[in-house]
Amino acid sequence: MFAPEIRILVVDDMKTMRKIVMKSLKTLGFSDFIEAEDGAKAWEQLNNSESKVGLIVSDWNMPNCTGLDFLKRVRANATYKETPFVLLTAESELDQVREAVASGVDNYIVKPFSADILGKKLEVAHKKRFA
Amino acid sequence: MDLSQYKIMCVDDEKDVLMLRSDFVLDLGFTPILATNVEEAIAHLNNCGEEIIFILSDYEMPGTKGLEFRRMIFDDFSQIPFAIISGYLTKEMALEGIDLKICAFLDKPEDEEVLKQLINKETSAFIEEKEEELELIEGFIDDTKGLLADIEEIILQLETEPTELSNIDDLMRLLHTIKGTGSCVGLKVLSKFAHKFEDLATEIKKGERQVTVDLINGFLKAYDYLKFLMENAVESEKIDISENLKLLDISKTNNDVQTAESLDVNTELQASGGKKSKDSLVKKEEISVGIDILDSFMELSGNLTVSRNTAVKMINNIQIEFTNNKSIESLSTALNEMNKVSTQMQNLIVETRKVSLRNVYKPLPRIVRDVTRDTGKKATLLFEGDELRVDNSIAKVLTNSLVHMVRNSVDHAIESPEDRASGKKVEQGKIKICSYEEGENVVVEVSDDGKGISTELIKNKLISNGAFSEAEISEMSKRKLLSMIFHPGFSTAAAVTDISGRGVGMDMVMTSVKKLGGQIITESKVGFGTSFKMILPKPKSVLILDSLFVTVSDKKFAIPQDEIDRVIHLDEKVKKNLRYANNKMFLKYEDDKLLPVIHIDEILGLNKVGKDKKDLKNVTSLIVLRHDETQCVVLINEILDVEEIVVKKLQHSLRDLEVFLGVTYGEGDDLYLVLSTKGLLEAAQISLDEDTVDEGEDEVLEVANYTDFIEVGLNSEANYMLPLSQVYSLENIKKENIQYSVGAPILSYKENTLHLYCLVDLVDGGNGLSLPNNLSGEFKVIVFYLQDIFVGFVVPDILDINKVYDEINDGLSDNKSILGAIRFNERIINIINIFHLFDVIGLHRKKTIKEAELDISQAA
Repeated sequence: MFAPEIRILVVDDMKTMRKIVMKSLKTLGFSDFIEAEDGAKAWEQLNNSESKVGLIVSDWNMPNCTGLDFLKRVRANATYKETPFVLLTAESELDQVREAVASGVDNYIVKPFSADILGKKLEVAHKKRFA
Repeated sequence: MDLSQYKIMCVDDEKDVLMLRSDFVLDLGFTPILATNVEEAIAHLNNCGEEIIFILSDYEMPGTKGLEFRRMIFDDFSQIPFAIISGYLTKEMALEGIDLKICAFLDKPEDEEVLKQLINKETSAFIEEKEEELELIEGFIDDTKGLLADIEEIILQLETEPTELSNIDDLMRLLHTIKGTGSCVGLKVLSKFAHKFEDLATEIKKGERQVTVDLINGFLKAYDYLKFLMENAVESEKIDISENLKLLDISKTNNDVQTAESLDVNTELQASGGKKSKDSLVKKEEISVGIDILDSFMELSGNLTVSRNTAVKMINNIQIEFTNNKSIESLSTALNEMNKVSTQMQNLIVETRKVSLRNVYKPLPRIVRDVTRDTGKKATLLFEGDELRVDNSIAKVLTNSLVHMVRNSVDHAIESPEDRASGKKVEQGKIKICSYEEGENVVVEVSDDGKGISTELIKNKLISNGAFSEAEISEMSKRKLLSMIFHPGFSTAAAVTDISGRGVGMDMVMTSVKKLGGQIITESKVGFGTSFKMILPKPKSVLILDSLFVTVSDKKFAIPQDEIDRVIHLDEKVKKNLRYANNKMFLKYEDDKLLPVIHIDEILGLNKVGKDKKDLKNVTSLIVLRHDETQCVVLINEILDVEEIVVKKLQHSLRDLEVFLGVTYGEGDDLYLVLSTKGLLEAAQISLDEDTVDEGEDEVLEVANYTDFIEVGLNSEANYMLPLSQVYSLENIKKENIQYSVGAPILSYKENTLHLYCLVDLVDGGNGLSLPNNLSGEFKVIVFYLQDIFVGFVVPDILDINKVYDEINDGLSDNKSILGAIRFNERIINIINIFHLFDVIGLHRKKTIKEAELDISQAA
């Protein structure tokens, strides 16, 4: 599983949603977060972060730069191409999930979710990358 | 934190004991639920189990015992902490208690302190979690407010561009966000509704359904319901929405939305320059602050200004007494610094309170759309100046008022397309909302090119209402008659329609505008249209007024200079002009007017002065006061001094005393009350609507609107005027006060800088920076306040202020500085285009109201 001290980037256009995600991540023991409200801002955050981001949890459906655009930029970048990327989605987007997985998403989480489920999904994502 | 939403259930077969427990629970802040037996208790649990956070049950009860009760409900409600009160405790009971997660056995009679701590310990985690959930829901609602408004806008947009798929994409994304986040904060019902809504939009995207009239109507209804669910998010979770989900069952077969040409509504956001940027959806990181806090800020900053001014005044006095004292000089510098910071802070506070008019106007297109649809009319809604930001208090009044006014305009003013066609008008009616700042006011003009308001109809209505006698009505001026549409219970609608015509709305509009200290000027021309000009004063944290100090009945009061028309020394000649009628005193003024005399002492309950002619012996002067068009006279014992004062608002408990604007500090530490003319008039029950002079005005209003112009003498060859409405102030400036900054003449003015320009030079096409050489010691300046900058035009002479009814003949001059010419009193007068001059000196114009007026008159 991820080490609790890693820095996690949380991306969602809704502030409330970011809060919920971070709250769940906190109950899983994580504490170092940075947030962004769309893909473009997330990309900035990623590049300006003083320590390397170890996990990205991102919404899919955002104005301006979408989750997919953001993912593509992350995967094309030398520093972050191996960084676990977990997608937040609602069930109707399952079509898109396929596309996302094909583009290099490590796992996806369907809204609404509990901290438990989030933990399990992260564990799977971690295994995929590092085991 | 509101604990009363959490319930504690007490179960005991003794009613007296229950009553004691109930009081105890109430004292803790929770809501008690009482049951005298287990059956009752179970009924409560089934009814509102999720709100019960603690159960306190007696052990020994007839029938079912406490532990048995816990066992019965254990499967469904084991998560609710359960305590038992018992006179005894056996080992078996204790063991079973562990099994059933009984949190405590309390001795009977229970120790209240122990019980209190127990409840606190058992419920705090749960309450904290609940509060966090609530906070998330509140945050979510806050986050989505903007999105909701966008949804409505997109639906309306979709109606005008049914094939534009980007609208659908936006709609889907917004609904998707609401659905996803809503489900995460635990709003299942809302989320379900948004989901079905989104599905419907997806069908369009997939090409499975067309954008039809029914679909748009359905979308809008669904949007209304979605908004309702959001506004009542927590309560909505308990309701069954299966009926409302049917709103989204919309038949697929229907005629397509009409093509763009025959659409009834289109909104042009002229000022915003067409396409709205999509990033308006992305918000900056923000925190929300309660309006009450901002209100307090405003008031505190006002208080700060008052103290600041007192301190500055004192230090000036001290400096005169102790010249060349270093410490005092440093203190003075420090105070000046503080002065600057406090001014800056005040400006920021004012800015913080502002909201964009664009947001205020957002609901209006939908209203025009719905009402035109319901009435079969056609209308376009135009905005101008909606980029303006206004104080929250003004926005609030506008939000409530414009809905009524726009609805009224479509419903009553705009004619049916057939009527318009036969009246040689274009079928599409036009409603325009023009917003701009004028001096210390925000002005919002709602105008239409509809049928205008017939004063005959108003008269008939008033007579049939029985509110006024025929004689009274026949004496009313046109202005007065038009103002009657704001009278409570007045409605000119021939038939009360579903949409408007109950006469409630306009009354409310006037009340709320007046509450802000504003006014509405109605102008109407039968067959051509109506305009409502709402003049709303910007709120001020502090009022600085030139005031005249006077005494009345040995009390000292201040009267604002700008409310004073004239001060008249009471001599024998003037005494002859004091008349009595119906036991009231009047002053014959300027030959033709009888002005009512208001006895301040009587209104304030002081000793009477000058009640009879004999009593005038202590009265030395009369002051003619004016508020808007209404004048009155007050009797004064002694005129003291003119002084610039800072007016502080009265304490909250005294604010109802409208006779006073506030208080001010005078010499020493004494407080003086500042009189308000408006308040005096109201207290003396002199109607503010009634015009004291009203000759010829009727016909004039009938013909055209007038504009006030200042006539200036520039050179001997021609006459020049410029519009008074733009002018901030007229000043006499001393030549020695002028300073030069980078070659440009400036002087310090109202704690700010006044930039001077030579008007003659500007009109001649120069840069205006070189002032005339022949300036005498004191000269005249016309001051404008534009975008926080004071600009003064130096003029050789100010000749007069004139009301001009004529229209401007433009195109007569090839000089851009001249807007055109008018004929006035048999002379041709050039109208100076001050906006062009502002452009020349590098100030972009803020308002184009003259152009707006021209536009409307051309449309008519």
